[in-house]
Amino acid sequence: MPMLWVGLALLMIWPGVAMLVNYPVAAARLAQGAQLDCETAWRCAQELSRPVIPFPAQLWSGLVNLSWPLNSSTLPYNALYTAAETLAGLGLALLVGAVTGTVLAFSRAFERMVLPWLVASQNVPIIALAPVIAVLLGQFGVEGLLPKAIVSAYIAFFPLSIGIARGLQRVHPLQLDLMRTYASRSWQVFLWLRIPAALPMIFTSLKLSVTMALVGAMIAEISIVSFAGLGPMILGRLQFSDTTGLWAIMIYAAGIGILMVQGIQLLERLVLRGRP
Amino acid sequence: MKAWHWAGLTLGLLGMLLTVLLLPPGWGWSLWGSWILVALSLWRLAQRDPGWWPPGLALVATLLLIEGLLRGYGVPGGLIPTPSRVLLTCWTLRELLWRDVLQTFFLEALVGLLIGAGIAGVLALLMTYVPWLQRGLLPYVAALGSVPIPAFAPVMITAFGIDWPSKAAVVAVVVLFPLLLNLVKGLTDIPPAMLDLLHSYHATPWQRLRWVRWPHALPYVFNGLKIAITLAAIAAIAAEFMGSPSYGLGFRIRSEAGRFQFDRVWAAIVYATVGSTALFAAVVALEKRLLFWERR
Repeated sequence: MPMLWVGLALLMIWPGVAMLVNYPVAAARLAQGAQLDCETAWRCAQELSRPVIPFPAQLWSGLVNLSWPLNSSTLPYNALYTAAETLAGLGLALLVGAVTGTVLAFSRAFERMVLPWLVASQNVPIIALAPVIAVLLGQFGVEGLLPKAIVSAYIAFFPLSIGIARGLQRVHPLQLDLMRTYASRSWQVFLWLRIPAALPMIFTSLKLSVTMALVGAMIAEISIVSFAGLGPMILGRLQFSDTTGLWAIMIYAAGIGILMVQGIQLLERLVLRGRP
Repeated sequence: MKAWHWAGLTLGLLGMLLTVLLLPPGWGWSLWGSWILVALSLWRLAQRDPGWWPPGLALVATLLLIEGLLRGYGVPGGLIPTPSRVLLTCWTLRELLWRDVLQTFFLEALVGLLIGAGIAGVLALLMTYVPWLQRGLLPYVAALGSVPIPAFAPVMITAFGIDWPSKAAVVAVVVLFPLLLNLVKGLTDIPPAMLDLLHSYHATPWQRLRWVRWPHALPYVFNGLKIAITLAAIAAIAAEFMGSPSYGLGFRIRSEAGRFQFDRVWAAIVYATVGSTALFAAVVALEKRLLFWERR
């Protein structure tokens, strides 16, 4: 309920803020003698073709313009394409992260040599490498959806492998003892104790990495020549400084991010149901 | 048997170094041989000893291996530059890259962080004294912070222009949520007994804030800052990828990658890594200084 009120208040403020920032622009253009189809700066501010901040009505029409008809040049298709890249990347990262995480969890030597660097990578802008990987992959002839998926996998890989390694080690000694009294083999301990124990942590690191994986996919899109996805659309709109279109794309991108986090949360609840 | 491992390690590293330095073509086996020697002895040593040097030596060995492989197999330097060439570029382009560092880290990341921290401070105070705002406003701030940077930066560029203020705005929005969440938690999660004590002292609201809430919030603030400083560097660089004037580390990386000048790209990445590590270390140092009572 408080969310609703705050949301309403934000909606009420929005036109005011938009007027505040657009009015000077409109007034200046009128003073320059620009031919606009409006009389007063007050009216013109609401109809600028490149507003600083779009008005609600402008944003709505921009959203509708870019969402319809459903083809490869509008937002729904491109948003789904970027989402597919990100999901493929997450899957890939999960696969590679599972192998690395398992080795990390079971080899002390490997952990001591590699884990410090993995942890350090958390405090370093690994996103800076995304354009390099994308361009290199393009040089080696990897094209289409795959290079973007690989870049987003690379972004997600670091937090995921740390999460998986920590999760696999996070078993209670009592539980290990119990498994030993059952005379279980080590692969049985792994399958029935360690993997279930690691699941909550894996989901947590998935949720943490999904937004950055999306960022990685979009940066890969703009680093190489691509024809589908939100990245190329943004570059196209940015060339014409089409503010309203950029806002519409932003809303879609935010929507994908939020939906993906919610999806993982749903999956988590399904997989972990019945746990405290 | 430990001496044997040390001997193997030294011999292997020396072998790699010699191979890299004096590599005549066709000596690849010597590189692989010494690398395996290093890997095996390092493996055995790392099993026993924790500390900084297993990861450090692993890095050195990996860099030497990459250097040797790239030279030995004659990979064109334009595609994957050797580590030594990257280091050289770091030096020759130092003035240009330092200008980029100023733009990215100081004008964008730090100014953005300060603005974000200021907004977070005001909002956190509001939320401390008007608790229903916590449930009302925090979800929106979280949603704002989770907007993918490449989609958010262009909007800011159209609003604030292409130079650093637009990137500082992106940084401010991205760091807002972790800072705000931690600050609110720190300011409100006070043991009631502490506030009761201050009440019995007849303390003014300002005194309560200054002597109970703020010191209690400080560890949380630093937790938030440590997340935020990393995010700030990431956000500044990612925002620069979307469009920037002709300097900035993100701009440098993207434009030089497009021109296949990969030694410059890697040099810029080295600067970005060192820069954000330094910022993070600065926050940790400040934390140690200010949170002297929490020293472990």
